Amino acid sequence: MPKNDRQFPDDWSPNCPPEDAVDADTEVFGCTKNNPPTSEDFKTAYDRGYKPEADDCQRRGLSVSLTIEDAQEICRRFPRPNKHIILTRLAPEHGKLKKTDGPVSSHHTFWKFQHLSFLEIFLRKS
Amino acid sequence: MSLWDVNAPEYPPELIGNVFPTDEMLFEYNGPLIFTFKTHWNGIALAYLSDEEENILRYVIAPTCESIVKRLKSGIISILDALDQPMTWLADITTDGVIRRSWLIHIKDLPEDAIPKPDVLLYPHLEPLLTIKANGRQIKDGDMPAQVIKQVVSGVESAIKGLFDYARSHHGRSGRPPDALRFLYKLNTQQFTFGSLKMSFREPEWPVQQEFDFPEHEALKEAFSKVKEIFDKGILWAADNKNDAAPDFGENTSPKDMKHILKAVKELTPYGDIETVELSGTILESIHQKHESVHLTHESRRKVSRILRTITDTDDEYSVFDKVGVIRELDRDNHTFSLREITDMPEQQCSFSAEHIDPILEAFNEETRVHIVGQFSKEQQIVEVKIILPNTVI
Repeated sequence: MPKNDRQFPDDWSPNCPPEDAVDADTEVFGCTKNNPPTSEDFKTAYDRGYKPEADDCQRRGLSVSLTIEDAQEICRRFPRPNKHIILTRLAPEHGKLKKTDGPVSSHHTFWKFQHLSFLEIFLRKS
Repeated sequence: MSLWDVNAPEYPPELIGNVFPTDEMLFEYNGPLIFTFKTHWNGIALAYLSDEEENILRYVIAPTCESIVKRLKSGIISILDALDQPMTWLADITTDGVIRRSWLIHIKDLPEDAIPKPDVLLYPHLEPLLTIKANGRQIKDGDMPAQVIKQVVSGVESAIKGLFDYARSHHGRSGRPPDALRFLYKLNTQQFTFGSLKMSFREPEWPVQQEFDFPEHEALKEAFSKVKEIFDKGILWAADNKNDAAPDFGENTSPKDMKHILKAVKELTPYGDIETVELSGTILESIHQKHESVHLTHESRRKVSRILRTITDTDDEYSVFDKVGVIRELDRDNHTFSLREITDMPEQQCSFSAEHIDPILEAFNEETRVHIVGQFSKEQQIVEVKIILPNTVI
């Protein structure tokens, strides 16, 4: 993959993702309503139009958990919209990751590069 | 999967009000999942994301108040408790916060997966250390024998204290704990349900190192974590009525270790009017991970007692202690006291379980002489009280 593919959308602020976000290089767990998942299952707060008053960069990232136990805790609390747990291995060519405040202890925010979709990242075979 | 068909009377959305902006965000994960908002009638309501489809978010909405939100945030009530109000709505909301349709509903009529199970708390870290539910023919709503409540509380206190003591002794500390560690012995009740006597206890709050200059602290926390693993195995073994063999806690578990753990297990087993107990909580990690509970019966108690009688602690020697004295320096948190004014010795340290606290307190407050019968451990130089009687009985 050419290095210049590693770009974030032009309309993001220059400080997004934040400087302390690192190259994604770990397994993460997401929660989905559908199995197999669809693009509807990977919407960020920005995609959903939530909280336009909140930090714009944070809204552009996707919430993920680093442990299956934490993903299960999300599913337990919201069983219908979070019926399934999906695991993927993120790699540096996918985007940046940062530990952020959240309802579970391993909560991280993942910012993907512009040319990729969350669905293809989560559905790719490791 | 699409949104489910709602079979309930519609309710005018304008009578609920605008959901966004939120008043207080309580759970956010790729958007607001649980939050409060100001209502049309100048109150607050709690919104819970029950389902979603493309650009429609379906929330369960319940009128609420500050005290309910406070209880939800501190794990005293579950998410379902907070939502289950006399009047509740379902609202389909577009992401700009406009309620498109709303219905007046009863929580019990919602699809099973549209709300969390009854015991699910707002945040995972609020999960209790231990939840115990006592069952028995005498345990009835509105007619609960006080002795049953006392028995449950005493059993839990003694079991947890035993495990902390064991964790301390495992990294070379025993005897009376320093004042800084007394928080470990103060169990707080998180939830109390009378219907079938269900009680939840919080894990004592471990102070952070910076606030609490005590080097032993982290090591003790780690030791307690290891003790919990063995305790979990002990409880599962006690619950397994098909397995009569002694428990296998691994090669590194000495007879003394096994005795400590089984004593704590025994404290939670039912007797008398309590026929079964149902246990769950973070202290039982393997069960907690599966969000299940484990049942102990009178048979579990008999099994634990039988194995305890067979364990020979080769590292320690025990003898019978049978003397009269006066209780001084009572430590209620640590369940220990000094017995003094004994005929042939100056003083003896004694430990006791929660079931003996009433006669011990009475003797301490009234400074009366008491007759103590117990087991003296040569290694620990302490008497474990088995019987306490007023001296007049002798």
